[in-house]
Amino acid sequence: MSSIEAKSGASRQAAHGRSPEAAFDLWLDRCLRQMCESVAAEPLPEALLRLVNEDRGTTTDAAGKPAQPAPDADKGGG
Amino acid sequence: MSPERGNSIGTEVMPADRFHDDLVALLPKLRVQALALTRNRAAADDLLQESVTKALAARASFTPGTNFAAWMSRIVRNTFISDIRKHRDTVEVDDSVPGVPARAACAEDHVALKELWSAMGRLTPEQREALVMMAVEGMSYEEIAEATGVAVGTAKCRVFRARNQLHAMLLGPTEPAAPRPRLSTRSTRARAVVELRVNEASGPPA
Repeated sequence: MSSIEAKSGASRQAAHGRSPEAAFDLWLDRCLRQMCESVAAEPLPEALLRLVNEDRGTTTDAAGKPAQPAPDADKGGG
Repeated sequence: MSPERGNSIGTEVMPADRFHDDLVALLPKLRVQALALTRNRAAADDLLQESVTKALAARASFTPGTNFAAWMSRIVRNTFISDIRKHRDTVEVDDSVPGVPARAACAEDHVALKELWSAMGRLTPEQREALVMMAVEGMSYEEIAEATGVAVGTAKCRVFRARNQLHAMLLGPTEPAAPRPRLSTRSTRARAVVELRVNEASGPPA
């Protein structure tokens, strides 16, 4: 096992959080999850969803059939 | 490398509905990736919007059955790199800690999280991206390597260095001979909180 692999997060966590490195990694991962999961859970920007839904309403699939428009694709996102 | 490359051999095209559904389902994760790369909420949403525009335009080049999440991750990443070249040094650093309203954490924890977020800014975008993919998304080194278009060893190296650099910035270097950086009062307080929380984490598993 290389020195990098030996000290990787996975290996550190395999130490059941008893070493200082593993404890730091555990704390770090918790903090990152706390920050990022909150961001991921926030509502997506309206303009972004409108962009996808408008494309959904105009594109055709491989067989040339128009794709099903999204239920709210033509509601203007108001 | 363009995400489209390597997908032009097959003639099969992903059904439009499926493509859009998968894209919408993936947006929250792509938003986190964009934030990890930019460290700026507004810039992250701009990056996401630009990436989605490119993905919709390149839909026909995605090969069904291949890894859609990795394909999208590469588009976000390539768009970020392209934007960096065009607008170097014009994106302001956002010091507000994402997703952590003051009421959600005690003041001391908030200080530590703010210090962590600041320290993240001193990592390279590639290191931040790899670390977040592993710590938040639970991706393996192999998955990170595929999503970012690098060798597995490079992905491991990025995560390893990110962790070590954050450790050094927040708690001091692991090498005893290395000089300890001078800290502000806020950083000293943050370090004390980090040490406390890390010590709590070092206890036996429940």
